[in-house]
Amino acid sequence: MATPDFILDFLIFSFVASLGVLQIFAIRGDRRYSFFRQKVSSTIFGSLLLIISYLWFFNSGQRNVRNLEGAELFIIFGLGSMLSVLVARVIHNMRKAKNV
Amino acid sequence: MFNLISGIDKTVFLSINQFAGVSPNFDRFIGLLVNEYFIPVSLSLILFGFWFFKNGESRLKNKKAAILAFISIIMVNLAINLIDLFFQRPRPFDIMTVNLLYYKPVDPSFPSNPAAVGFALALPIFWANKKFGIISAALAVLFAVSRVIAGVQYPLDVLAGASLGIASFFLVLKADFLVDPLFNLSLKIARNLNLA
Repeated sequence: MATPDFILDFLIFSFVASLGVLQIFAIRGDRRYSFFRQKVSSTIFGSLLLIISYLWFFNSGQRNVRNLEGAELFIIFGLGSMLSVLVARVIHNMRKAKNV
Repeated sequence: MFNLISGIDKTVFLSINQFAGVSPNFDRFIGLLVNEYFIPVSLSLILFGFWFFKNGESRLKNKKAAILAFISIIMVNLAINLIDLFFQRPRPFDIMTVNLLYYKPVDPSFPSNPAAVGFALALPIFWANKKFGIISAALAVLFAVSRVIAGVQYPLDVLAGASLGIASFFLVLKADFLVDPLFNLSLKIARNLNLA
């Protein structure tokens, strides 16, 4: 049985890790989701988000327990990653508007 | 014949499982690999990143990898549920003393669901990008092996699971009539949402 705390933790982990991955990949492809214009800044920032999310999630509690099942994992991961896409797009547009 | 294979499987299991409980650092490492989050999420993140990766000729291939993985996972889950209806192998810890590094799963041991999912996620990545594919395949192998070291599955379970994941991917790859409409639909939705 999934506990609310665990669901929230996994959602935050999925969101932050997805945001990190998005910064690493989008600068090499779809730049509408990048916070930075330079590859180096984007890669460093993305990698930092990714590392922090993993370190936090796997050190903040016992993860080897029966909790989220396959379908629940998929839905929460999907939600976290979609949220990261939305946030990345908003921040990208805000930065662009500021620079114009 | 079944008893012979089962006997060999148990012997191989015990020789691999003996590495658990020897070093606390090694146990922690296996504990990280074996759980349902570390490797499946890492592989899913690669597929997620691929959606936004490269605007060149591999752009569509990268996006298609995510759809192939999605259908492959549905297929392996259906196949495993079907196998479970006819054959329910007890877990190693149910019938003998093992070095257990994980909680006790309640579903049947054969075939390994995590191994199947690991390979169903890794192969589409390999299909789209060899560099990321090698890393992903290594993660899928580690995921499968860690299940045996942690004492929750037999080697035959993970071999069957991995085979199921591989077979499912190649079947899906050949099933254009199934994949192409779904891929075109996902692309259309993504474009309408400004995501592609």
